[in-house]
Amino acid sequence: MGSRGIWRAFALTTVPDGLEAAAEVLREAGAGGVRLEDADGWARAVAHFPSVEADRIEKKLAAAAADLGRFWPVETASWEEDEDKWLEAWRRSLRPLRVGRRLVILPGDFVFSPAPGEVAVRIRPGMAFGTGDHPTTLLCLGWLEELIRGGETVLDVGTGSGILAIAALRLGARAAVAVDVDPLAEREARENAAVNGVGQALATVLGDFREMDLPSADLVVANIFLSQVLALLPPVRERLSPGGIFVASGVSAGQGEELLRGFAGAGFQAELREAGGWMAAAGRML
Amino acid sequence: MAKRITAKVKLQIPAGKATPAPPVGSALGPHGVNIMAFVKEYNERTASQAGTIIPVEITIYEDRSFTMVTKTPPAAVLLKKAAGVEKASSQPNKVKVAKVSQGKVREIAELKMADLNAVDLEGACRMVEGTARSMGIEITD
Repeated sequence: MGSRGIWRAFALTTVPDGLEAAAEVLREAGAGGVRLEDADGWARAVAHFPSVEADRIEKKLAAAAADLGRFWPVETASWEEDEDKWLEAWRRSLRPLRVGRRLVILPGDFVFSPAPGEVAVRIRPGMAFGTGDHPTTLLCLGWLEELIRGGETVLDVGTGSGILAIAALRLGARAAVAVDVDPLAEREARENAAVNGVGQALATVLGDFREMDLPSADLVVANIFLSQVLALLPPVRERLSPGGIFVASGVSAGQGEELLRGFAGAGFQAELREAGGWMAAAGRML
Repeated sequence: MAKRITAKVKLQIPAGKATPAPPVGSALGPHGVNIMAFVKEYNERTASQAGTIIPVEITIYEDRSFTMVTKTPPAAVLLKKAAGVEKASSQPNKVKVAKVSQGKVREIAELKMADLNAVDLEGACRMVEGTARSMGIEITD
């Protein structure tokens, strides 16, 4: 992909009173989010779009900005940005992480030779969630390291970078399906799987897990947040093999009891663990 | 001693649905902030408001740590909700897509008072009205 990692930024500069409307114009053009900036008494709304969409967005925005210009002075600007530049400082700060007895998570191209018995998972820190440096990811990885014995089928809901599905495969799972609603995540999960030599065993699916017709799995993992996890309990149960396990995280420390109650109510016997103010639970279907 | 602030970043992103993609990655990455930590914390805090836009102000310190304050939804988003429309007018000066009452504008202004750069409620009302007009939303008495 030639345009891999290249984004086009569009900015609307206006008076402070016009900023809310300018941000709305960017959202209506399809921006997933907007950054607001002060600029010497002026205000600026900036949004990024994948470069492949830039021409279409540019036309749309030119018309909308002209309309906005009838109410406030508006100036438009646009430029290209490379995501590698934004992420450089953050990537430099990442180090290999050891999880449990065997797992080692490597950021990007970090040079590393695993010792005998160690299982390395290489994740390129990109635009999808999951580099291993968040407590919720580490908690889930810890559970996977303990629970995967070999030969299992695994379902990863909200896969992000694919880290959990890929780690499960590297630990011995037979096959994994990685689901996400974000096309960026689906792409990064596929790329990370290929880097780890498990591209064949990992299937990525884009969309809402609850509406998918998926084969049953021995283990489901979801690192999202409490309300999502609770909503997933019934559909996960339907897709688990008898005695299957659901590992869930993205839950802050104060919400552990609620998570446990949810598990119990859906017919799981679950255990909680905490790290760095976050919690994860693993529940076995009764 | 207080930690030195290196940057303040204002974003408007969908509640519960932040990802490391822009504007999060593009705004926080250059400061070396742990992007995943921000995404997780923002999503967890705003999960119950999913479906709307929740602005967030992030203060970044010299040791790359950060704090965040979430705000009320943008006036434009509240106006569309009050007017019951999905989209603003594509020709706001000619085509009015919806009407919002003066009372509703006041309600939005009151809610936004703390976040808007207005001296008093009247000033906040005028800002909300201005936003409404430029979206093709008419104000009725």
